[in-house]
Amino acid sequence: MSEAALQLRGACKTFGHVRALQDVNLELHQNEVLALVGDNGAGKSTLVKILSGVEQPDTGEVIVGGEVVRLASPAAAQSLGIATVYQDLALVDPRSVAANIYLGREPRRLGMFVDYPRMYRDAATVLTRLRVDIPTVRAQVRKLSGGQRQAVAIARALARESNIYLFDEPTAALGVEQQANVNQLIEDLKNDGSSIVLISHNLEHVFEVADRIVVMRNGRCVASIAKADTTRHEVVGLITGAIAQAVA
Amino acid sequence: MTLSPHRTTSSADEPLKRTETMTVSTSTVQPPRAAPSTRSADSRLVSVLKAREISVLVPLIVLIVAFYFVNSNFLSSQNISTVLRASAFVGIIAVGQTILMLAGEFDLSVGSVAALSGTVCAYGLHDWHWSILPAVLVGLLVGAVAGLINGLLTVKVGIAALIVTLGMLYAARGLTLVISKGVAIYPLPTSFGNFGQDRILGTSWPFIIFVVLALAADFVIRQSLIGSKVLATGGNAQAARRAGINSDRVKIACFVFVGVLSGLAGILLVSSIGTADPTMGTGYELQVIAAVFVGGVSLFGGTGTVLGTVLGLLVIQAINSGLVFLEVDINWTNVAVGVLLVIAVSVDVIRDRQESGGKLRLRALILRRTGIGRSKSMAG
Repeated sequence: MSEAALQLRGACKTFGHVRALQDVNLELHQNEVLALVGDNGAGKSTLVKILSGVEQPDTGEVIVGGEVVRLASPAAAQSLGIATVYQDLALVDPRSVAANIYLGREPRRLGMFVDYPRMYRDAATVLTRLRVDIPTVRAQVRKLSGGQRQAVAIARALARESNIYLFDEPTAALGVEQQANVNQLIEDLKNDGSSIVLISHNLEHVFEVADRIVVMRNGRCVASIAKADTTRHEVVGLITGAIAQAVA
Repeated sequence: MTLSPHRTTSSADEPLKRTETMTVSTSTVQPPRAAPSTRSADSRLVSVLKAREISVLVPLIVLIVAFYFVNSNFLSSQNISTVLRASAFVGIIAVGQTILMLAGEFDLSVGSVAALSGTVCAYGLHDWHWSILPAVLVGLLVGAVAGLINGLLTVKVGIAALIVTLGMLYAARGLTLVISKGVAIYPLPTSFGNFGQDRILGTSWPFIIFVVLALAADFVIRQSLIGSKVLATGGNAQAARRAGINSDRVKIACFVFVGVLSGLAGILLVSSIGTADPTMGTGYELQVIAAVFVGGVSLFGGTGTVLGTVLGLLVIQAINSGLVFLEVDINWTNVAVGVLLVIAVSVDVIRDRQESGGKLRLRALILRRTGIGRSKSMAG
């Protein structure tokens, strides 16, 4: 395995009196699907926020492609090829499906105008890849169902030219069909050479797509195990604390 | 989510049930307007009818026709010309206020800032014998600085816009009175007054400037990258930030824009009456906000157009003028505008409730518009 696609070293993050992350080390290998699991409040979302530039760690460093980087903003993370699907989806409700997919990186005309016709076409193409039934890319996002909204958020991550994808609960609001589509999508991204961090409560989903599983508990990483070397039973034990620690 | 093939359709997953066969219907041949789909609401005719402007345009036409039948002088070229010329000053400010409100903030200080800019400009011309260009530029600069202060305090310090701009409303009016010592500044150079008073193309320069600004701003919001950033910021500032948009900067720029346009309106007002009256622009803030809301800019931010605001302003002006023709006591016009404003916003709230699945987001709205609970820790 070559150098890690993305690495977090010694990250600590405190919100008021809550120590959300305590000395967390995480290594995402090239071309790997890493599942991040843990109970509510274990620090998964904080970790994703740090890797996507939304939050900055109190201490610790982020390394992308072998270089220490400062992810001062989501824009900084995106420019380093990190795309994120947030748990709250981060959609702009009154705007159209297409505008949401290309939010912040709209196709341009003459440098300062949005090329809306192209944006609508491109958005439709991205959605086709997700096999989502969204009536029109011009629909306001707030008029969509939960599953459709989630699809739009995923489509946004897909539409960015990225090689690292962070998925925070990407299938929470999805139907069975879409869940399968997302699994397929993750496989596809991996086959295209991307590296993926997947946060999920759904262990079935995790065991289907992950190469490696990292378990978080109370702001710490307590295990990092190859999927082949563990069982759902062990992972559940690690999540709840019935099993204290495991490092493979 | 269960695997049952007979699962009953809850509202959340109802639109998902055909996914195995359907791909996105817009994928191949996308007509330039609406997409073909299961929703009749997306046909071209319906989408035109659903445009927010229509719900302002129709009442406007009805009002005009009604007033015309009561008194045909309502549509005399003289009355039209008078109404339009009078609407230029509030209109110019309303263009800026629309964009600021699309970005999710608002400014109460516009009338005072207009007076301050106009007074500073007039003071330079009258007391310091500046030539016109520097006096106008300094006046505009005053507006820009006021807007910048509003923007920085609201966005960077995190004080609610209601409080910040209310403070600016008082401070700018106070400064205006200090500078003018409470009396009107005149006479002003003839060439300065000529600009505001000259007839051009059957109307006035201020009105032409208003129309040009409104058209340009409408186009910018609909088509430009800046417009897209403004709408995203107003629709969901946190999401905009996560998509790499500097929503703080967008909001501050919008505050500055409103400040500059308020300054411009004040200077043009001074030019058109040939005098800097320190009480000018009083009450503009409410007229401007009324026009914006009547014009269909959403209370919830992120939706609305400058064109809608222009129509909203015309509705208000038509009522003001029409009631005069009906020989109604002038004080009733405020009642009429107040009722109209509440009706317009009610329509917006009800429409929003219907579209977002029945939940009345009044609480969210109050939190948002008053900025209670606003804090920098939420700036994710």
